[in-house]
Amino acid sequence: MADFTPIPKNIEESNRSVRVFVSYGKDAWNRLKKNKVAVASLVFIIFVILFGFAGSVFFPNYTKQNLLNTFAPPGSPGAPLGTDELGRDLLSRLVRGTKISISIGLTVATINIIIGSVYGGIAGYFGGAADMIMMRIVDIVISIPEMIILILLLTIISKGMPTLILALCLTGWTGTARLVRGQVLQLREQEYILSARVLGAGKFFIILRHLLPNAIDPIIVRFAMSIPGVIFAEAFLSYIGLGVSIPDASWGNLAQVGSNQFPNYLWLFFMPATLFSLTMLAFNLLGDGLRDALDPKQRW
Amino acid sequence: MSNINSNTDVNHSNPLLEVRSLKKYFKVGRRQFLKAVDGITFHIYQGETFGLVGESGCGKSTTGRAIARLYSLTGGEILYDGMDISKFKGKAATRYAFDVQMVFQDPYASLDPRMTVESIVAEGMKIHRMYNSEQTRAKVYELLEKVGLNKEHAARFPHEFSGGQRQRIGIARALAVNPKFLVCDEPVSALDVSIQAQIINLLRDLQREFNLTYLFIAHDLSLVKYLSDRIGVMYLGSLLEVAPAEELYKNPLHPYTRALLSAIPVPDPAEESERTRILLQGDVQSPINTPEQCKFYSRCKYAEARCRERIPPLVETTEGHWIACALNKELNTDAYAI
Ligand SMILES: Nc1ncnc2c1ncn2[C@@H]1O[C@H](COP(=O)(O)OP(=O)(O)OP(=O)(O)O)[C@@H](O)[C@H]1O
Ligand code: SF4
Ligand SMILES: [Mg+2]
Repeated sequence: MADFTPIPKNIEESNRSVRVFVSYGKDAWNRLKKNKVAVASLVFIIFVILFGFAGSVFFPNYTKQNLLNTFAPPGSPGAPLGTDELGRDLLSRLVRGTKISISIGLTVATINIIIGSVYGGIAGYFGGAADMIMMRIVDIVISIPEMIILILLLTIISKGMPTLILALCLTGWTGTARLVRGQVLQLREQEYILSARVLGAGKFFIILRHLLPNAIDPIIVRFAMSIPGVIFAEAFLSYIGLGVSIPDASWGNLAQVGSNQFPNYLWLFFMPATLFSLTMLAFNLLGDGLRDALDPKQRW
Repeated sequence: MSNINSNTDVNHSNPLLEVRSLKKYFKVGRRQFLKAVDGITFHIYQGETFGLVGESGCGKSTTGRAIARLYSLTGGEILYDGMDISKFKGKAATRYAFDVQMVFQDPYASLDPRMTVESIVAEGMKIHRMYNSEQTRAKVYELLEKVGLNKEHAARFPHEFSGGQRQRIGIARALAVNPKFLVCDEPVSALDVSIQAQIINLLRDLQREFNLTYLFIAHDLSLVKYLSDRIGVMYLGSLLEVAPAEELYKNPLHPYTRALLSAIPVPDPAEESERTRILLQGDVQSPINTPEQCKFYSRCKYAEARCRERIPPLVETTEGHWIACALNKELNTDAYAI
């Protein structure tokens, strides 16, 4: 006869349902945490942001020249990453460049997401003639090549950060507007929205309590995915001399200065270019991870 | 099967809701109008269940939604307690929202996936700031019990429930503002048959307990018969026949209703083999820019010239039995017997 061991007394305890109730956001966060690549990207992005913002406290002298110490190689005393052709410390300039590039990226992406969401939300929610006219305007803005507007504005008004931000915002919101409009059009016919209307809910209540929470996922993904595009546009414009100009620093003009010396003093080019590329990659990978984590079909 | 809903509380002198020549057209093209509801007239007495049946796309939901004030009307009017509901603003609109609530067709689309059951059920109480948060919670628990759930369910999200349970949550949400009138838009057609009966029984119990008046929409005549005091039969935006449930079954007059009823199998095999089925000829017309004639014309075996003169109005042929057919009383004669 086989030996049977008696069931432990606390069977009740061990048999209890282990189902825990998690909110929507937490659930998505748990799924994101399981994605190694996305987590690594997030950590890297946080590191880059700290590098730019906390770093600027410790390395503020990004314009200080020292003509006696030009093109110092990395590891030189007082210049851990070397110096450029005017003897400016590359680490300080890289910190400054990171701060500027990330700031522009986040600012422009935020403004674009807000404008696009509000614009698309209004068009989708009110529909009819307003929607028609608003979406034709979007079509027109989209049909004008972005670079032409950017270059035109930057040459006509002035170079520099404010114009750069304005120029990047002028065209960047259209994609979000289309996305959000589509979302809202689809959501507003959902029966739970109708139910709220039958219960006597006002427009603001419906927008805040139902539309926004249900439309937010793709907006978040789009936000993360749009940052590298903005950073790239900024870098490109700064590289060709239309964006952030020396002596201020951004990834774009740092790479430009470095490429002027190519193939000598390679670190001047590769340091900013590598940081820039890795950050772009990290934002894209994080965006992918977010999209998967927020996919409703992944929810159990 | 007899009618389980022989509700003694029906007040026949007092229509709670009157729908008069209701029209709702949707603009679908430059000059194209989809006539979802094209001039229907009926009334619902205080305390009764009015069943509205018809094929998919005939305009049942549109009618229900118009009553729930979700649409602006193309024509006609809807009177609640004698008042035109399209004129309600501010306080009157709020009072109407308290009185008239809706249960929806799709249990998967009718609950916000982002909200807990508690906030879903409490939504109406929150919109109108009816109670403080403690009272609201207590009321939510009470409502959940009423619809056959319990308070452990309150913290969960809709996706954790079955279709039948979701429909119960939707019913609790509607009941939260203490309504008098419920528009039930096919509340069980998305559910398994075994679950359907549970929900129907729940609705019937709630009706007794709270003295509710129902507009019960369904595409299945046998279901409506079980629940309704009176039944209206819709076809392509028109209301073709209105009669008490028993009467409609025993003595259907309109050619469309006769065809519909002949399609329902009867439980007795002997009777079933005797039964003649009326097969409908032709196709359902498109609802877009339908001509001003009997909507059933293209499929009716009695169709003749006078059927095309206008949309036949709904007239009372015998006490309480209304039909919209150009032949009208002649349908009662031997010439048109089934
Ligand atoms: N917002 C809208 N815009 C255009 N057409 C609509 C709209 N809502 C409904 N319709 C059309 O109006 C007609 C009636 O629709 P309705 O939803 O009232 O039908 P129904 O009888 O409830 O059908 P079902 O049994 O499928 O729910 C259909 O042809 C439908 O396509
Ligand atoms: S009006 Fe004419 S076509 Fe219409 S149901 Fe009556 S007999 Fe048939
Ligand atoms: Mg419907």
